[in-house]
Amino acid sequence: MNTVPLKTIIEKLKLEAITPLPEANRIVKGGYASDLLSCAMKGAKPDYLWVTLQSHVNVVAVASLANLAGVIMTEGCRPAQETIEQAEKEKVVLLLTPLDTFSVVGQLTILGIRGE
Amino acid sequence: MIPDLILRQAKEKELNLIAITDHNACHNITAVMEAAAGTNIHVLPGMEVQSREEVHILCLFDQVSSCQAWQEIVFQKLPPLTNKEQIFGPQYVVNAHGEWLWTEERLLAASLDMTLEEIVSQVGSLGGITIPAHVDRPSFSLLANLGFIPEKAAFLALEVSPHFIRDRDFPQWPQLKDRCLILNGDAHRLSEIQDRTTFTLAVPLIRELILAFQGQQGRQVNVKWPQN
Repeated sequence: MNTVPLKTIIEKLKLEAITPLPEANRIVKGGYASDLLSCAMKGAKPDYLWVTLQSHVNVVAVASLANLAGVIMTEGCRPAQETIEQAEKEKVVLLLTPLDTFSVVGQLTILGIRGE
Repeated sequence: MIPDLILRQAKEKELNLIAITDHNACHNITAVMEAAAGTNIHVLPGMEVQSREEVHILCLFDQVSSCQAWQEIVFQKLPPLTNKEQIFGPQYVVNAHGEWLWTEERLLAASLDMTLEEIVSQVGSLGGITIPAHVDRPSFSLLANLGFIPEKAAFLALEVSPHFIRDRDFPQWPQLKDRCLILNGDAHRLSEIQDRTTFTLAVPLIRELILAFQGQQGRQVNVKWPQN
């Protein structure tokens, strides 16, 4: 399994972190992309990065349940303050990018991140 | 669907309360209300809107004017796109007898730039009520798109489709067990109009529906559940 440090991904993809990053450098073990949260609940695995354009507060709950390394919100989606506060509470890393999901997944693949 | 025929079908099904919930619009509501004039069938004005999360939500009102005020907000939040009739079909506005009046050109089959919670709050402030539509379906539904019911929105009732089989589906969505569920047809054709949900109300008003959803003051909701 190829793994990449979260900080490397943030740097290479120029992601904007809107919640505090974990002190220890977290390792990303895989990736998952879907905008249906019911699918993400099944498909996103621990230490994965989830790429989505959903920014609803339920995203935080799904990410927390699955112990994800982080969520990349695409296409400039900026979550409401409530979502950010919930993410801070649950220690979920939210990352923003103006890029679309296709481009983000392409770049993650180049960095060596794979799905299941 | 032609208003006169909707009323005929409702009469055949022995319904006396129906809601007209076109997608992101309510242009045809007055025609259906006109067709219902003089019958014992009460028509609730409404809409089925699509949130930013692509969740379909039924919005019901007592007054046409409130529904139209909501439509004005909805139109401001729709993307400025034109309908493609060959894909989405023509968006006709008709009179009570189904005669063509005009065609809505803006694309109604799109998401509003509003979150689920913003929709619930705005409809509530206009005196309406919101009910997540066909939550058991795999697309455009609260449970498929958002995984589970967000608590903040505080829905009093959820709609399930005629595909919902209780014994099979409650284990899949245990959170539905404690909820007030109503079953409607999401009818796009006359044949899809359902007669499975019965409301016990003093009068056909939103405040009475709210009591029924909560089982208060003798108001209630009963559903004749589909069998396997």
